[in-house]
Amino acid sequence: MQGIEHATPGIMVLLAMVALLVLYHIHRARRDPSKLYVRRIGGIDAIDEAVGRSAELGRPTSFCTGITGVGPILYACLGVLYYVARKAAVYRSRLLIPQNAPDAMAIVEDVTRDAYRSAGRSSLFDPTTIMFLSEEQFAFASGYMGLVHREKVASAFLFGSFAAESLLLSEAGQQVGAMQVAATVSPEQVAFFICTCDYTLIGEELFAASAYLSREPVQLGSLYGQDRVKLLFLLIIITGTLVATWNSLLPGSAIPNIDTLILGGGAYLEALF
Amino acid sequence: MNDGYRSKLLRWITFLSGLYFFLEFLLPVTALQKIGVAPYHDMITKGFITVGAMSIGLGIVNLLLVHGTKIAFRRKGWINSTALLMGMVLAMVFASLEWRGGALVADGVREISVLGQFAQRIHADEVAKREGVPPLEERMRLLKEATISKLSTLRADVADEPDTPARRGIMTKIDEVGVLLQPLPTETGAILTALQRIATLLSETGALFGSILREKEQVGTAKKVHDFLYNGLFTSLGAAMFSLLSVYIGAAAFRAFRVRSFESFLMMGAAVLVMLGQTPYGLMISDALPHIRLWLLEVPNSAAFRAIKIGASVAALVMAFRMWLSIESESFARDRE
Repeated sequence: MQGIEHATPGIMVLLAMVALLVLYHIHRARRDPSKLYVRRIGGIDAIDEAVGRSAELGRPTSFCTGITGVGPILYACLGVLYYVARKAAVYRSRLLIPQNAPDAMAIVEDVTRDAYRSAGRSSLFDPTTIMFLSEEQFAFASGYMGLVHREKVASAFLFGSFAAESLLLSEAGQQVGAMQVAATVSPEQVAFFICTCDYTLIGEELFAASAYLSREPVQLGSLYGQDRVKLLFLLIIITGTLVATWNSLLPGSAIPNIDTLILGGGAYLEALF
Repeated sequence: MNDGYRSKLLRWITFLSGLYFFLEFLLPVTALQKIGVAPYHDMITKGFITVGAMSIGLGIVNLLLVHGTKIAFRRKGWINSTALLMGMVLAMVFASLEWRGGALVADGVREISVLGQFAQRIHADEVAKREGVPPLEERMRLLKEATISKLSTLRADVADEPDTPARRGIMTKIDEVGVLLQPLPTETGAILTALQRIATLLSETGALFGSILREKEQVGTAKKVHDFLYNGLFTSLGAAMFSLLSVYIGAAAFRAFRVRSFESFLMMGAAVLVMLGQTPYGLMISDALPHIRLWLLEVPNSAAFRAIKIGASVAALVMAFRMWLSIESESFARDRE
């Protein structure tokens, strides 16, 4: 299916419902965040263990955002990076953050500096640990592999968008015996991470990780709102399946399907203007 | 949170920028045309992209900082850092020279083809009897002067070139254009016919001259070094890194695929069926294997992929909303002194 260039009334209604659900749950979370339960995610619990392992072994931790550019995925990773950087600051452990995108690097540096400042360890922050490797995919992978082998990292975090280089990155950590936690929204790369990493967060667990760690009301509320939105989509899928089945069994009494209702009506909107 | 005026200004800029693109998606094309934004949409989008291009220097500055300090203080690995910075400078210099060579070729071709476009324009204006343009005689005079001047220079430029079909073609076309322009026809019909022929000849001359310039550029030092660095080293090294995947996949699979439970048995079984269905050996075992492989990939695998993508897309949409409304930064931006 091709992308949609302009909204239809159905899409507007869906967007409004998504926004209302999320904003309602954010408001609810701001009132009382303790009432919002988030199930345990093993990979996120392992973050403390991984950073602690680095501190005990006296070897650095690496946090790699892959080929993530500035966007929602990067912001999801920043929440976890903030947590990891704070832990590394408290344990006085070196944190290496190789970067692929220069614009994302500026944001990452800012967040890391803030994390060190909030832990009261501003003097320990070393901007040279946030290093730009390359914008080119395999050059970046090569630089990361070299870095991991030279520094013998004890724990590695792979959070963000990854493509074919995912296995190269995770295998490098495996070769030096690092404890690895990975999180990606690309289903194609999840399989590689599952084979090579100790813990893998799949799909939206990357976005949930930040909420889980920080227990911050906006993120917790968003997480709840997302789940309600998915329930809504599930309802739409089931309804659409039933309608499509009805239409195929009883073509004489066909009902307009969900996709016609959602994607149609563009002409009506044009006529309004 | 300490909201200074800077923070508020940033939030407003973020919100208004996001609002523009949100409304651009929400409103139909006719509404955008009525508001008068539609013709400028491409320009606005490019303006935002240009802001992102400011980050082009950040990577270079970081490389200089990280590796420069290593070299300056002779830290561990400073020799590798020296090699990296030298390679970076070398690549930048020769990429710039190669780009300049290409730009000179394009300029050389454009100087001739623009005259052909002028001839076409005169022809089109005369046929359409367009108003507000200078008289035909004056335009023809200007075209003649500019063309004769340019073609004289061109003749001198290619006189020393080796005798190739391109050079002979250029000389022939220069002569033919000269015949058409001297003297200028007086009758309008003859002028229009001559203009069409001149436009074609100039366009062909430009293409031939471009081929000569490109040939010279190809054998130039800058191009050769650039090709060696890019095609010889960079692309080849990227391919080598990519090829490592085949080895690593085998190693990772051998390490990770252990049948310890019913679920892992299912996964192993599916993996074996898909791998056999993918290769010619599968067909030798059974004709059904490719179909089983296709079903596994198109039905259960697709279902899982779509479920993950739906969840991730919803999460990304919600995250984008939070970024737009600037409520995302509360999670990791604390009070600043």
